Amino acid sequence: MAKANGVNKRLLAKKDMNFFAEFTANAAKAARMMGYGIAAGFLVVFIVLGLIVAFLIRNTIIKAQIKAMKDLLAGPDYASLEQDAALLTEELNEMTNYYFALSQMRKDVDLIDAAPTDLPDVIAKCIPSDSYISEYAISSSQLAIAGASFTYYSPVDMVNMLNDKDVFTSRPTITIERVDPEAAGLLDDMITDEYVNVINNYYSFQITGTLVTNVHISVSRFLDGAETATSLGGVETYDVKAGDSYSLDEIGSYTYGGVTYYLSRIFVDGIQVDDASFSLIKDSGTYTDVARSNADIKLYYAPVIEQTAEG
Amino acid sequence: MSNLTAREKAFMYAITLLIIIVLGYFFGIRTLNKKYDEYKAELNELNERKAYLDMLRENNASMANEIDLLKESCSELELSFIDKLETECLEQYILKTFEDAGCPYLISITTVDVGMPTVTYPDGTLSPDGLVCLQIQVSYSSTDGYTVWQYNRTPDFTNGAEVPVEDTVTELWDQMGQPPYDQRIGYDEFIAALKTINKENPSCIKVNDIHVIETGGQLTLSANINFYATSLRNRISVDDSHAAYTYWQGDTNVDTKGGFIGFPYICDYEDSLWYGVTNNDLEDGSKPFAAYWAVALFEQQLAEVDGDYAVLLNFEGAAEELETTPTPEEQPEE
Repeated sequence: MAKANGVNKRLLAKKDMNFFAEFTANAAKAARMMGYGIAAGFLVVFIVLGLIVAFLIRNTIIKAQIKAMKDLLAGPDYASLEQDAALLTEELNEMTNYYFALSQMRKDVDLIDAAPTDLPDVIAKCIPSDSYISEYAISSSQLAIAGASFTYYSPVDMVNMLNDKDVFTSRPTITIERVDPEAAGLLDDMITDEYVNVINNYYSFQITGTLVTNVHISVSRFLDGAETATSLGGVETYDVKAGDSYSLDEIGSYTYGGVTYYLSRIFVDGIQVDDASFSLIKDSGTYTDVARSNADIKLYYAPVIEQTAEG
Repeated sequence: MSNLTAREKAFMYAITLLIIIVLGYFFGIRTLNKKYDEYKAELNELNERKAYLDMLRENNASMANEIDLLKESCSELELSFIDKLETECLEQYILKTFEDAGCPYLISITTVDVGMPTVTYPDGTLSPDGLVCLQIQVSYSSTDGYTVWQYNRTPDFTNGAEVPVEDTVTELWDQMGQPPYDQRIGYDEFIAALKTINKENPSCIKVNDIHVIETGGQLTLSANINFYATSLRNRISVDDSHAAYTYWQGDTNVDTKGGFIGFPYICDYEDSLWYGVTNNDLEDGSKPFAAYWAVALFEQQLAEVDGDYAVLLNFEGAAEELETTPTPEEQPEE
């Protein structure tokens, strides 16, 4: 048996053959595995690149959305909204103040009653036949009459008749004085050679009293809690006959400028309504009183506080 | 590379792949994701801003609507006052109303500005707008039921009268105390005029007070009438109403040919209705323009003609007429 380097050549060839075969198989396997690896690597790279492209596209889309939104907001529909809001707020404040001022002027004039021009007719029908009126003065709230009568009952009769016609709101003052003969004239004036001035004793009288007039109730609404007092609308004025009761309904809430406000305080002629009365008014939404004299009612409102479903 | 074993190659390959992935992640995906998050946040912010602006738009619409409503209300309130107070229009209206009611015997009429309360805003600041009140004070007389009456040029006793003055006087001379002069006119008419005025515009025209007093056989009738207007800085409404007291309803194209300034001793302006009328208001005899001796001479000459300025000035030949008029002693007996 031939030997090479001391190794049996036959045995060596077989081993080599096996080795090469094994080597070749391993190489093929390695090459195959390498191919898989490369493929997998490409796949991963592809995926990474794909993701990058996808994200790039996504970003491009969102950038386009941002641009579109920015364009929209910069467009004529949106660009001036804040400026418009500021101008409108200023204008609304000015108009609210102007309306408040005008309604206050209206109130100031409405509070002034005209002198009753029907009263002279009423007076003319209440003068007893033994009396005459030498002077009268009528203002929006006062009546003063001066005159003379032959009996001292006539002035009081006159006041009684005037009271029957609801002229006076309170007790008038009546002054009756016998006219001094000296005031009537000297003897020579009354008795002459030709005739005697047979004038009776007579009495002068003065009547003064306060007239029945309407009572004016002015109502104004303000925002409560604001740094500076802000009106909600103008001043409303109601005429009520003195002594009658009146009520302000649905005052529990008030909607102004699209916002609903809720009653928080009430001041009547500068005095705050006490808590117990206020609670009743708030529950009923109605303020009721008797018109004794002019009243200035200020209603303060607070904006509603939104509550959550849990809360 | 070719010297590397397969394992080494695989390792290198894996390392390269890992580097690619890491680089791809850090410089690609991560950056893009980060950018995307930023974009998304920006978009959300923009969406929120849009929502806010949409809400603002609704608020603006609501405010604009509120402003429109306020403007309407303000216009109504503005128009509830007299636009402007013109003194001559108001007095002309008052005079005409009393005359139309049958109360023309005027004693006096005057206007007075009445102070009104200042207007304050709720925050206490003063409003530049304000109320204006003009008071017309009138005083009339009734007739006394006897004396012949006259007002303005009714009846006309001026030189321009259509009927000669002498004829009018002659006609009226015997009518004192006779119908219609036996009527005491004025009181009912005065009250009727006040009622008319009170009803004219109750929110702006108010009879403030009435005073009636007997005065020597007739009545003196007085009243104060208030007219309310506003002084507005930025008026919204336009008042195109033509109330009797807001625009001129009196005479136009008035003849001004005979008007003059300064009444002489005797009016010698032929175009004037005062022509020939002697000045009765000459109590102040001082003549600052004249020499002392001239003043003294004037007084002497005036005394010589018994204070008759017509004679002194020889108005329309009065001096010659006086000289030629025979005295009673010289009158021939009939």
